[in-house]
Formats: sequence, C-alpha cells, structure tokens
Amino acid sequence: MSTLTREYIKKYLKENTLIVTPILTSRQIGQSSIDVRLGNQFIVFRAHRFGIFDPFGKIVTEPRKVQERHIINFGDDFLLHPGVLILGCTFEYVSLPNDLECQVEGRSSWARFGLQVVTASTVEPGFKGVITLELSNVGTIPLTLKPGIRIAQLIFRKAYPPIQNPYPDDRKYKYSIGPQFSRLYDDSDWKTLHKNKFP
Amino acid sequence: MNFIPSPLDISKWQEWYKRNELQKFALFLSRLAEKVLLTEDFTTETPKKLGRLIIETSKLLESFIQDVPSNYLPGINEFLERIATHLRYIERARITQTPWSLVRSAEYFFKQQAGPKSNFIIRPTWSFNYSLIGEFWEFYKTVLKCWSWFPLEDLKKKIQFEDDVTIYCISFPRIERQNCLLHINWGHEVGHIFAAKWMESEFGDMWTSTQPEIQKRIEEQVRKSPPPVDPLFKEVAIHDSVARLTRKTMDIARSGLSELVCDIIGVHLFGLSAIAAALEFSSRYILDASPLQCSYYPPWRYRLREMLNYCEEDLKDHSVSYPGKIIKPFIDWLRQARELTHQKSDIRVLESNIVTKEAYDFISSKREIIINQVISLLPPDSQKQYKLYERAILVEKLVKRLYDGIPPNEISNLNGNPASLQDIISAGWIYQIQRSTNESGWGKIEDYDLLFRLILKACESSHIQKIWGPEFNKEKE
Repeated sequence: MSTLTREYIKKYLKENTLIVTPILTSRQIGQSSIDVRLGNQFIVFRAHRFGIFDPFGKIVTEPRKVQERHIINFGDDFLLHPGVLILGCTFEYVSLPNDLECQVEGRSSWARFGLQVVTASTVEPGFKGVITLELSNVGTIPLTLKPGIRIAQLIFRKAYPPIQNPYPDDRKYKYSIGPQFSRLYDDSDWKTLHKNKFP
Repeated sequence: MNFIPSPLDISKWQEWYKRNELQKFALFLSRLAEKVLLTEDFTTETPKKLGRLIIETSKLLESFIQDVPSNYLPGINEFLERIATHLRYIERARITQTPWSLVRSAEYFFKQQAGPKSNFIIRPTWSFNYSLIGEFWEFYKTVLKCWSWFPLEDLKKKIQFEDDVTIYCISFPRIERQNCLLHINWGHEVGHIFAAKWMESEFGDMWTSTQPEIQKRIEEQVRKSPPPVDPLFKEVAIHDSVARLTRKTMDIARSGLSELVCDIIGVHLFGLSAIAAALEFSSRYILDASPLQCSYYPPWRYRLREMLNYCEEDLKDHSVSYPGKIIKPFIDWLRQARELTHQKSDIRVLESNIVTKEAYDFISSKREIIINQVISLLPPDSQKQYKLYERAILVEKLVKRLYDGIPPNEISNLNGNPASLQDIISAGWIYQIQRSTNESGWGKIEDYDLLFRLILKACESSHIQKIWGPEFNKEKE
C-alpha cells in the first residue's frame, strides 16, 4: 500500500470522494497527511465511582457506567493530567472512499510533551464520522488541550483492490459525531467468552 | 453587634427576624448562583451573564438589608424570591442538557436579528412547549430603580452591562432535545421581541381607531339577546356586557395578532422549514380550536394558512428554480398542507362567536400593514425574506450530502463557504420529508437519530468555520 502525497490528497478532496470537513485552513494539508483538530467532546473515566472495568463480571459490564461524557466550548481549556487516558475526537468529520484507508497518528510537536494520541489507529475504507482519539499524557506535567488545536494527522493509503462493501451501516462506530464509548460487548468473540466456559 | 431583641417587644423582634432572614436569603442566593457558575459548563456566555446579575444584585441587596426602612422589606422579599427562580433557567442551560451545537449557532443568528447586545439562554423544559421569557435586565432595572437607596450604577459597573443589554430565555421541549429541525420554532419565539415592540408602539392607536365600529356591532348583537335581568337594569347590563365583550375582543385580537406576527417572523427568517416545523408541532393538536378554548391562541389551521400565504412564491411551480427531483417531494408535501388550509372550518369556528369574529375581522383587515411594519423592525440585512427557490441549487447539494451520510455544513471540501443555518435546516427538512414520503421503511428512531446528528454536526462545523476560519487563516506559520 502506498501513502498518498499532497497532490493526490487534494485530488481526492476536490473530487469529493474523500471528505474531511471542515478544513479551516489549507495549511492543514501537509506533504503526505492532513492535520486534524481536536473536537470539543471528551469521555473520561469515573475512577472515583468504579475501581474496575470487567466486561466479564457481573457488576460493571456497561462502559457508560465507568465513563462519562464532557462537552466544553471551542477554545476552552481541557487539562490532561499525567497518567490519565481520555477519549476525544477529531473536529473534522471524515468520509473515506472504498479505496482508501487511513492511519491516525499523533503530531510530533505534541508527542515531545508526552501526549500520545492514538492507540487504535487504522480507519477502514468506507468509514464515516468523526474519529475517536485515545489521548493519554505519558509525560510528567499536566497538558492544556483546547478544542480546535491541531492534535493529530491522517495519513491515507490506497487499499487494493477497492473494498466492495465498505464499512456497512451497522458497524459499531459509523456516523459518530463525538467520541464513542467502547462497544466491546458487540464483539462476537466477547459474547462467546461471556456465555461459555471452555472445557 | 446585632443582638436579638427581647420577644416582649414583638414588633422589634419580628423586624429583627425579617431583616436577618432576608439577609440570609440574599447571601444563600448569591452563593448558590456562584456555585452553579463555578461547577457547570454552558454552551454560551449568556447563562453566566444572568448568573452574575443574580450574584451581584443579591450581594448588594444583602449589604443594605439591615439599614433600609422597614417598609421596603416586603418588596425586597418578593424581588429576591422572584430572582431566585431565575436560577432554574441557568441550571437548565447546562451544555449537556441542550443541543449545544445548534444553541451556539442559533444564538449567533438571533443576535444578528435582535441586535448584538441581545442575549439568549436556550434551555429545555419538561412541558411540551416553546416559549420566550424575559427580558430579565429590564425587570431588574425597573424594580431596583424604585429603591433610591440601591446603587444601580455600581451594579452596572460590576456586571458590565449597559442599559441596552437584553437577556431572554427561549424554552424548548426536553423530550425533543435532539430534534433540531423542530427547534426552528425558536424563530417564532424571537419574533415575540419584534411583535412586542410593534404592539407597544402601534397596536393601541390602531385599535382605538377601530374600536367604536366594533363596539357598535357587539352592541347590536347583545341587544338581540340581552342579559336576563330586571328591565330596570337592562341598559346597565347591556352596557356592562358590551364593555366586557369589547375588552375580550381586544385581548383576543392582541394575542392572536402577536402569535401571527411571530409566525410570520419565523417564516421570514427560516422559510418553508418554519412551516414544516409548525406542521409537525401542530399535528398533535385540534386544528380548529377556538381562541376562547385555548388561552386566546389562534386556531392552528388559521396560523398555517397565514404562514403558507406568506411563502406563496416558494410554493409556486418553479420548474426552473427546482430543476432536480430532490426538493419536489418537500414542495408537494407543503402543497398538500395548503389543501388542509383550504378547508375553512377554523373560520366557521371564529365566526360562530361575535368576540372571535370581530377580533379576527380586525386582524385580517390590518394584516398586510402590520406585517410590513413588523418586518421593517428587523435589521436591514434580514428584511429580505429567506426563499427556498433562490437557494435551491445550493440546498440540493446539501441534501445530497445527507444521503451520503455527511453533515451538510458546506457543499464541498476546501470550499471555504460554510452553509448558513437556514440552508442547513432546509436541507434537513427536505431530506426528512423526501425519505419519509418515498421510502416506507424510513422513519425508525435510528433514522431520525442519524439525521439529527448530521444536522447538529453541520450546525457546529459551519458555525466554527464562520467564526474561527478567518482567524486561523490570518496567521502565518
């Protein structure tokens, strides 16, 4: 798979087969990536209420019990303390054609302060929605984040051959407009493990 | 030291308690408001502005309570009780309680209509209704001006309000929180600001010039079936009855006119979408209910007819203006709604009673003049009506984005022109009507949920692009 360079990214954008909307300034389009901004919704852990998330247990199997959503305004501060993981999202809504996949990567400018942007970084062809970002501060000092800052970059790669039935509507995280709670329990493996005891 | 007087001197004892209780009340109120502002996030600055007004007003009152003459105490008590209830507007406007992306862009849009110093708190309420409450700052000023000892200028400095600042609260039904297409009814609520201005300056004279004729006709009617009283009191009873019915006619005309003017403002600002929202909202009510049975509100059929008449140009057969197939189902749907208003059952209800007949004869005779006068109160940029057929090509492209599962915040990538709030909402309604009329399977809760999400995201994106885009583009790397 080859990485799309600026010229091809622009071509896809102009043809509206790849949608990244809105791009507030053309400077977001780099040599082989598009910078994306931080959205204003976050999911944080309610560590003060629940000590454990155990999808196989009987007490807390629903992610929304151990996490809660926060919404702040564009330009307001969100403090990310060392050792804390939160879920954020891109401000831009992304729609990938069936012949492109995309990698989400942090920006090195932020990484130098200890901000890790993603842990699950591949977005499949046909995806539509804002991209949920797993943000964690592995540095030693708190970081101030602001919705609207350029937080990550999208790197596009050709998918060969193009996928015939890309990212169907019933997929877990399609058409999201904010960070999504984990839907681990939708995995068929999880259901099998939850119901049965192995011999 | 402020010692408790002896209970033997009951009047002093009581006054001591009154002052201390009021002082506590004012103090608790300011602390409660401070707590709400400190611990909650809001979509816009407006709830905080009202909060600061409550905090500073109650703090200043608290500092004067021990020294003001005792005859002021009942008034202060009543005022504090009243402003304490204003806290609920702030609490309910928390960011998580509202469709925040729409709230932000709607307040921005309404400020453009009602003036840059106007502010709107938008909050949900459990009752199924839309309403406009306020204006708050005027209420505070009016009361506080009456108390010569109250340092109103100090308050203005503390909260940094000028005299012409206004704060209103628009309520919407909580159950419909996500239904951004229905919330276009907010346009009607903003219309109340202009309707009130017009009523204050024009209605009195207009009514006075017409009242003698109306009164005469009411008297003729009353004389046909006079009140059953002793013949000695017949004339007095007739006069009494005529005066009462004339007054009622005026109230019904005033209330009906106010609602109809607001409907027109809503339609003027948002075009056919406002009618679609009114249709959806009214579908659960009786269309021909008499104003006498529903708090003097005009019958829904009458209101819809007036709105549709105002948009007549949009509903003509514009085969050139609406070249594609996308908008047609929406226009057809509204034309069918117009058929609904061709039935005159509401008019028959209005004509069945002398009071409603006279009120609505007055309204219909003055309708054109009043609408023109009210529209002239809008800022120059808003005096041109939003017409869908003039926006058709752009709106069709936005609808296509919805079909592709993409928010209709702009027509293409790198376009640099965010769509207007009106165009986004139009696209939403067109999409909803097209899919629900053409596809029998469409209309599940998930379908609406997805549509509302895309519209809300579009409102957010276009607003941010409008406000922040130029700022980001100014800077050089």
